[in-house]
Amino acid sequence: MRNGQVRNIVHAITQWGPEAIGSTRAAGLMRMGLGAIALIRFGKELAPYAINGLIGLSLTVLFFSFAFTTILGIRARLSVAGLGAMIMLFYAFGLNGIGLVTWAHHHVYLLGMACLLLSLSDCGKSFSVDRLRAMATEDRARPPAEFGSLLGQRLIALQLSALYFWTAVDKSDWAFVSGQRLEQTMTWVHSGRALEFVLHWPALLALASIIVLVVEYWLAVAILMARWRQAAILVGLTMHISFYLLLPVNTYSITVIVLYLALLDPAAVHRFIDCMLGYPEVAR
Amino acid sequence: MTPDPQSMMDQASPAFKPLTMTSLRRYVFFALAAFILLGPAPGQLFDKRSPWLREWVMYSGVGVGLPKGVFTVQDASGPVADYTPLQAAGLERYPLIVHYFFDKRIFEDADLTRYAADLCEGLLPGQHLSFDGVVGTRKGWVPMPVTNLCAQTEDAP
Repeated sequence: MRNGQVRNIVHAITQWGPEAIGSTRAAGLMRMGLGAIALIRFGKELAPYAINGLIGLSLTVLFFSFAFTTILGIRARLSVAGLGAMIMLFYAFGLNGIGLVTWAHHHVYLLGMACLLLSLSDCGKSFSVDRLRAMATEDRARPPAEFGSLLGQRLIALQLSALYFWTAVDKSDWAFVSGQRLEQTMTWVHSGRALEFVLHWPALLALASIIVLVVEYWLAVAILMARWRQAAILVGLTMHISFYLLLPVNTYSITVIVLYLALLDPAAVHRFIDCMLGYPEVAR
Repeated sequence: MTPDPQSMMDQASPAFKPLTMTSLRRYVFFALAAFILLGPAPGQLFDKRSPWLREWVMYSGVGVGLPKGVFTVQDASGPVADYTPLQAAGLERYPLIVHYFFDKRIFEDADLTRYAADLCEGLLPGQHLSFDGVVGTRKGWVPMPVTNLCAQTEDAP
C-alpha cells in the first residue's frame, strides 16, 4: 500500500471519528435513555431503604443525583460522566465482592462505558436544561444550534462492533455451533415452562446457533458500513428483541437498542424529529 | 544576521509543541478505540484475564452444571421408575435467579448425588438410583453416567 493511500485511510478515519461533528439530538436522546436505564437497573438496589451506613448513603446520593441530572441534561456532559464513573465504581465493587456480585455483569460494564463515552460528545445541546439556559441567557435571534462533537458516539459504535465481534469469537466452537450451549441455556431458562418444547428440537437449536454466530460476525462489520447499516440495524434490533423475550438479559438488550442511536445518521435523526414535531419545512 | 534564539529553540525541541484540542481529541479517540477493540483479546485469545479488560462472553455459563438424561430408581428386579432432572431435584422448574446462584449445579459425581438428594431420601431399602445422561459444561454436554448415586443404600438389605 502506498503512503498516499495510507494517508487517505487515516484521514477518512480521523474525519469519521475524532473530527466528527453533527446534530446532537441523537446524543441527547441517548443521554436520557441511558440515565433512565441506570435508574431502572440500580434504583431498587441503591435506594436509601436498601443501603446501610454513611458511605453507602453518600454513594446513593451521588448516583441518584447524577442519574437525574443526566436525564434532565443539567451540566449534561459532567453528569453523564459522573453517572458512568459511578456505574464503573459499582462494577469494581461487584468484581471485588464489596457490592452485589451481579454488579460485575457485562450489562453493567456496557452501561457504564456507554455513559463515559457519551460524555465525550456534546450530549447536552439537545433536549436538556443546559439548552433552555442557553436560550434564556444568551441574547440570540435564533436558538443555539444543536450541533457539536460526535466523538463519543463514534466510540460507542466501535464498542458495539467490538461487542459483536468478541462475543462471536467466544461462540466459534463446536459446542455452540452444534446447538449444545444454546440447549443448555434454554434448559436453565425454559425447562418446565411454556417454551420447553424447543428443547425437543435440537436441529432447530443448532440452526439458531449458526444464525446467531453468522449474524454477530456480520453485525460487527455491517454496523460500521454505511451501505449495510440500515439492514444491520433491523437485523440487530430483531436479534436483541428476541434475546429480551427469550432470555433473562436484564438491561442488556435495552441498553444496546438505545446505543443503536449512535449508528444512525445524526442529520437523519434531526430531520425525523423535526418531522415528528410538525416542522417538515425545517426538515427539508 | 543573528538568528532568533526563540525560533532556534522551537526548532530544536519539537516536543514542547503545545497540544492542540484537535490533537488531544485524536489521541483520546485512538487510545480508547484500541482499548475497546483489542481489550478483550488477551483474555479471549490467550487466556490472560484481567477484570479491566472486559471479555464479551455473556451467557456462556448459563446452563453449565445442569443434567440432561434420566434418573432411574432400580431394585433387584430391575428399573422401578424414571425421573426427569427436574423431578429428581424436586423442582417444577429452575428458579428465576442468576444461574451461578443455583446451588445444585453439577461439576463432579458427588454434585449429582446432592442434585438428587430428595430422591435419594425417598428410596426404599434395596433400591438404588442411577443416572444415565450428560451434564452441561462450557465445552458442551459431557457424559456423566453413575450407577449408584445414593451410596448409603448400597448395602441396604
